[in-house]
Amino acid sequence: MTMRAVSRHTVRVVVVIGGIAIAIETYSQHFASRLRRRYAGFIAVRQAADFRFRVELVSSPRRLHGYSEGLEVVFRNALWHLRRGDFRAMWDMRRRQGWMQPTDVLHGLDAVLRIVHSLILAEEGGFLVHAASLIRNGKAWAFAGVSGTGKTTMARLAPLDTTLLSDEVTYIRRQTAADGTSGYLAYGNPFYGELRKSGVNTEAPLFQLCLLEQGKRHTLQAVERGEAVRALLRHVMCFSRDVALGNCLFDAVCAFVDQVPVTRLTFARDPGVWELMQ
Amino acid sequence: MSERYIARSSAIAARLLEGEMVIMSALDSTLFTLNATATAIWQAADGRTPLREIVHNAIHAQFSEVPGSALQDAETFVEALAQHGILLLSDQPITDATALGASQ
Repeated sequence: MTMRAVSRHTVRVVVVIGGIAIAIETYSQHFASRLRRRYAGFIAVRQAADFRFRVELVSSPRRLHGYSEGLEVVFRNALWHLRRGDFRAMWDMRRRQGWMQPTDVLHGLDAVLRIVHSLILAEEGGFLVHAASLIRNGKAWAFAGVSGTGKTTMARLAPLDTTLLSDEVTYIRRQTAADGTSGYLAYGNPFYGELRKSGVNTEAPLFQLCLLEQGKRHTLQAVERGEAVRALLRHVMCFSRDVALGNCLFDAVCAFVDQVPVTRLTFARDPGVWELMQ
Repeated sequence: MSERYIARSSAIAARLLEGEMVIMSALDSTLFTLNATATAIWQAADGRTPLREIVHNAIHAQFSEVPGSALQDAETFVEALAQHGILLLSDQPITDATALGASQ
């Protein structure tokens, strides 16, 4: 049995993803150190936080006995209630703060951060989507697909002049300029897939979203609007069955498809596919 | 034969895209896409109008004749949607306003 030093003082670690700063507060120096390692590249030292999240570590998984293995995200009494076998959490969007009890600290926190960011983005017309994304020539390309369609492969095949944003989750925010015109930015983030490597903490205008399909040669074809919306809805990360949230995502995806070209990228597993992404 | 009534569930998010209704079930996030005739039936599912009348109006708007099997086909369709919880089906008019979701 080992003992770890626990500070009496709250330790704040500000994690900035997609330009949104969430201060994670804990009493455990050890946990704070693990946080800094896990989210290296996304830690801000002197930045005011947009949101606060308090983490109370649970010493024994038995403390969470009775919680189901499946994820539940429910909006009730003006609060989001999140729970899974390894954590329970609450999120108050209005007060911009939340609370969490994890057992497997980093795994649970990673899941909660994805959910919380998806809720924040939903209010401003953005979303998280199951897609790899990379920047080339100042433009972001996203490659959406279910597991096994080649998201990580596209990242592995990418030439040296690209910047990895993520091989698993594309973080999309709507941006409105002073003149009223709007566009979408894709942000690098620490949510990774098989590559097990965080993206670079940067962003670029999202130039195109490609629906991945493997084939014998490389082709890039336009997808008509209705099909694009339906396909994208299947890949958008929606953690809750809340109807209002579903309507938000529907509107966000429709608005996105009206501005960002959605294409079908058929590709063979060789680096030549990147010649289509100029 | 008794009349049947249909109403849109409130547990859905739906949008009309290029003439086809796309419905996302809040129960399991499943996506459904309805063709033009099914969309017309869905939009008319107000809980008060009998299914027979809805089918007649929806099909008559697109075709000169209403096939004899139309009502039977529609009943199969609405029963399938009801099983997924996105449409309510009853032998009585459905008056619960909370049952009615957005038509688009």
